[in-house]
Amino acid sequence: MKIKRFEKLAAPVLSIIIALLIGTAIIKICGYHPLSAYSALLKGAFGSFRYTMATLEKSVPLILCGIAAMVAMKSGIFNIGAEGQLFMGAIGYTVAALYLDFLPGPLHLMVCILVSILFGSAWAFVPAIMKIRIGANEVVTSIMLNYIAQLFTSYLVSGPMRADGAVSQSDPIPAATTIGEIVAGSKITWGFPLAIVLCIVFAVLFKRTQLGYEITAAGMNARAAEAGGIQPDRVRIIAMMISGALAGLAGGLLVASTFGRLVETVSTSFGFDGISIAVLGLYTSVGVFLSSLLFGALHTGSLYMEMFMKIPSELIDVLQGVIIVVIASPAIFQILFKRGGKR
Amino acid sequence: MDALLDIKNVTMRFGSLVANDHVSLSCGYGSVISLLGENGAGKTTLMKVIYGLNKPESGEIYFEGKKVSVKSPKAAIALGIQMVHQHFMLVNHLTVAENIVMGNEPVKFGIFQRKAAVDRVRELSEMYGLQIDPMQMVGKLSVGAKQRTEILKALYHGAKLLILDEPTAVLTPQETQELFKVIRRLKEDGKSVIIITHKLHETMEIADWVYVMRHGKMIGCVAKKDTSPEELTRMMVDHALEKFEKAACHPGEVAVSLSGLSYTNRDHAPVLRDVNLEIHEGEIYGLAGIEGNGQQELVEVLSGIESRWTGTYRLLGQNAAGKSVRDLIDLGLGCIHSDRQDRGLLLDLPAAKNVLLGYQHQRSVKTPVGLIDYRRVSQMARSIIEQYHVSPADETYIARSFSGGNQQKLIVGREFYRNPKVVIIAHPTRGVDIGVSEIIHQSILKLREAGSAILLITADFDELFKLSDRIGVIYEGHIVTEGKSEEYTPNRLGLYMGGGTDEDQAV
Repeated sequence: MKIKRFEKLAAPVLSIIIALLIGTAIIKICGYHPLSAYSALLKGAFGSFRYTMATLEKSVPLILCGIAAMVAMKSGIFNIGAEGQLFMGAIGYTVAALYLDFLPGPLHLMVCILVSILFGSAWAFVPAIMKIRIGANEVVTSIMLNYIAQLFTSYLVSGPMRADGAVSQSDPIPAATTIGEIVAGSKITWGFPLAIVLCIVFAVLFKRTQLGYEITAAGMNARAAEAGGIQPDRVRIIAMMISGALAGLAGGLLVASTFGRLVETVSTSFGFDGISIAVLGLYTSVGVFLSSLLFGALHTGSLYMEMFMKIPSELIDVLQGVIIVVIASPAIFQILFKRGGKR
Repeated sequence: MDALLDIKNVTMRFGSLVANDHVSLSCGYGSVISLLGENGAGKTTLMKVIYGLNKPESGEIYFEGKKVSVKSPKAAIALGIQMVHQHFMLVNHLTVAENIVMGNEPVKFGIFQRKAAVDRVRELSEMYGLQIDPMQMVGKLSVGAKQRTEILKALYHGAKLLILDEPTAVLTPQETQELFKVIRRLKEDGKSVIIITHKLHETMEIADWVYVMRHGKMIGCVAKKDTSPEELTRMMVDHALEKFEKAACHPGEVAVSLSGLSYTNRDHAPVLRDVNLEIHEGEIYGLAGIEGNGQQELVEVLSGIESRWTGTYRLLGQNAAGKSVRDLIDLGLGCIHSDRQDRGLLLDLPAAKNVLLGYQHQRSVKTPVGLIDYRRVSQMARSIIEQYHVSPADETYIARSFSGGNQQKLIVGREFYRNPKVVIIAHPTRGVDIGVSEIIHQSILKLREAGSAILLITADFDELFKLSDRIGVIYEGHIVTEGKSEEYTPNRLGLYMGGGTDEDQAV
């Protein structure tokens, strides 16, 4: 069994290595120096205390979206709608922050968080119930709902909620509803410890609780789960709503700590990255955490690389893409780990 | 004269498992060979070597005196070797004739000659007494007729050697007799047949030579006329079977009662029609029937998975209508579904977590704060593993890594662990070897002695007669006959299973 665990770990590690090799080739082909590119990437991600903290902060929405994708996938439903749920969460948070400002400070903050969770969750409920009741493909409906959420955000910040000025954005949210840095100037906010707590909560959920067991069972073999007294459809709806709640919270946190207001570009595809992160993290909380740090580092590092080495950050997107392509190709690993001709 | 087929020292390995260990077998012209052995003994593996589906590590195959290397089923067919699999390879939406000629159609100027095909098939069918209408749609055929179609297909494509993989598993006794008639005709015609089976009485009836395999090794070859079922059993099983003791039946209160139960499935087919059934405490009710006559649906209804039935279903004095699977489990219902991998197991989870399935909500597996107490679950799994001799004896292994028999033992252990008051058991020993069957049968009887009401659904007559106190036959969703098990013979049951009545026998 130990060997098995090692073999499992080999997949993500190897895919990262393969991606780095392919990335090297691409950087070279594009006429840059791979080594200096990578060193700039590293420097940008972990080169100083502030850079490191920025990387950690960047990973917060990734962790949340990663867990969101993980919960849904474990239950056997594919939540490609996290992006839209994140936008809805951001809208919910901003609306609660701007219009419920009569609430006392700490309560106001709690309500905002709650509203963002509810908005995300409700947005995830729609494709889930449509799938279960009328068999609508959740991938198609979720993608449509992503557009609606995104465009609705654009509408709000350029219409009803638009602040005075040249940029399409809402008014800044009240100070009581922002989530600040843990230590002034550290660039890392309370969102990060919250993300760690959530990682632990979901690790426990899947390792020790009935709900975690039922989600896993429904995802692995719905018919056996059914015979075991689990209602797979119900479990999947719950999982989907948890997933949406996490994505919504990610959106809320982005408003509360990163932007301080609703903007059109709340998310730069965090919802989609979450899926990759869940896969790379082998559907475990720890794995999601580590993968999120990696993706966060690639994000911050690539900005530095672009700024100081004039290497386009898009190359790093390519790198990310390659990691996912490699890990999603079981065939590659079957060739790499050619085991005796079983069966 | 040379033998038609000679297999010499074939070794076949799957990873570290030696499935065939220097196995030899010889089959003469016009002879019927029975390849006998428990599940996992390596019978099918060996046949797949002959049919080109498995590539042996070493060994030689001679066919008609020439050394051959069978690289693919295509090569096997070219030689004249045909295999009829357990699962039929037929296209339901084509006619019998079309299915049969597929791959070697009569063609004139590039046009398919339907009439020629039909004529040729009819001719062949009459020659071997197969009684099959070439124009019939395959989808409408009975299981037995589908099997005959497969055999006909093999003959059409020039089979000299026919391999039948557990051909009688899906047949009624009457259909089995039909099949044996066909096999005898083939033999007269100089064709050879190898039958894979683990049924002794069939072997004794049809085979000329019996080869017995055990744990991947060929234990021996005996002529049918020189052997006995007892000797064959000894060869098949390496441990003596315990003498089977069954205590007298002391039926108690009615535990399960169905009256006028009907169920129409999603395709609007009335799969269960007015089922009336009572099962008492301390009683085993054996339900016989050809597969697909509503057994599956009955299990789904009784276990609470399917809720859209009409009529009355009372379990332990309570109305079961509107009750969920979980409610019924909590009432004291255990259920072993027919397909263990479909409804029974979470294959990629450890054995311990599989033992938890169905009981994950119960207080007894939880810590005071409501988390699942996996220490207790592991203990439970270990005691099941010990009691049922599950191997590997390690509850941390995933369910997939256990063999079929051991998976079944895990399920039986799980369902019986809490001494359920009512148990529904479908095909408990299907695909399970004799040793494991014995363990499972013993535990079913133990449960009966403890006063459980047991519904046993099985296609295995040996099992049915061995265990049942009362027997019923389900045909097209209706229980057509019912009585004490002593009142039935396999023949009489077979008659009912095929939709007949006692009067038919009289005529």
